[in-house]
Amino acid sequence: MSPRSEFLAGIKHLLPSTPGIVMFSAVVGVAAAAAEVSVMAAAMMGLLVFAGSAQLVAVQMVAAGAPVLVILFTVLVINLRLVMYSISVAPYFRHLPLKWKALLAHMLTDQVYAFSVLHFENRPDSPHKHWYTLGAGLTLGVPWVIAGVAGFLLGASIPRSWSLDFTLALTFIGLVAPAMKDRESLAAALTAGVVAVAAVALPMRLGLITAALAGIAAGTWVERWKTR
Amino acid sequence: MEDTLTVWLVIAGTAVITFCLRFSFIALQGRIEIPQVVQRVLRYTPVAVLTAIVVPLLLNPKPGFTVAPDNLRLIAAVAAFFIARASRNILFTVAGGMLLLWSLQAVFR
Repeated sequence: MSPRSEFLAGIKHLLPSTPGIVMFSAVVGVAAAAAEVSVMAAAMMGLLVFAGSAQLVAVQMVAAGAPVLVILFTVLVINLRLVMYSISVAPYFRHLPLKWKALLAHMLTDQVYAFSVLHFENRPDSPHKHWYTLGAGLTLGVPWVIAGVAGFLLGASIPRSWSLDFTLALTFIGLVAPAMKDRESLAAALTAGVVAVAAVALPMRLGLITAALAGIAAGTWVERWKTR
Repeated sequence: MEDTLTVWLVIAGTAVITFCLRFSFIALQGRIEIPQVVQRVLRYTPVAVLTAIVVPLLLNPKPGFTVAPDNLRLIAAVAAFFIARASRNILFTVAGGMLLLWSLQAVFR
């Protein structure tokens, strides 16, 4: 695939995710307005952080008057899963110049990561696959920043009854369901789902990374057991 | 509104921490060798993480655990799962799931 077709594929695959992203970012914008920061601060946060859960929690902790170091530690824990993404995607970006690596790293959200890796697995040798991640990242990143500002300025002006936030869950389902293609990935998904529900009460969203690690362990265990 | 120093420290700190976590192994690749075993094991990351995000969203278990029996989203999500399996197309999955949810809401609400 050419750079252009990779780039366009990234855009096309991520477009169905944009309503969910817009809703999520608008919620963060509303929270930022409630925390009485400036619109500039809200916009910069969307642009420079580009990580929904962390932004939302940080803004709410600012509003609650939490100490800076406590906020930053919480952000660190919430975003620990990004290290897993970094390790997992690193081999695919091995050949790129540092600037490209830094740019793509900044775009590595849950969805951009998952779409990229699942796309790369089918064609590991495509020389222009980084263009896919760039297309995917921009498709989410641009609406992310704009919707954050819009949410800040307009407040919650889209009726909740439209349930547009549900598109986020649907995107994840659309991505995960076809990827459960063997017993290993099925075990990984089921275990992660069950543990995520059981561990939902853990502080600092530790339930998410606990569930992810449990799922990975389950997938690996089934793989070993099958090959024995 | 006037931002306090705290606000900008939080934004700068959050941005730097988040970027460093994302960049960590992408930057180190080539300089340190990530063991093959780790790479292999992490193949299950997308499926595990996405499921771990989505399932609590659907069951909406607030700490204390409540599963609403009239959870229309859960019904639409299960249907969307099968649409996704059959179509392997995210746009169909999102469109089908939303249409079903809106229909269910129109009937039951």
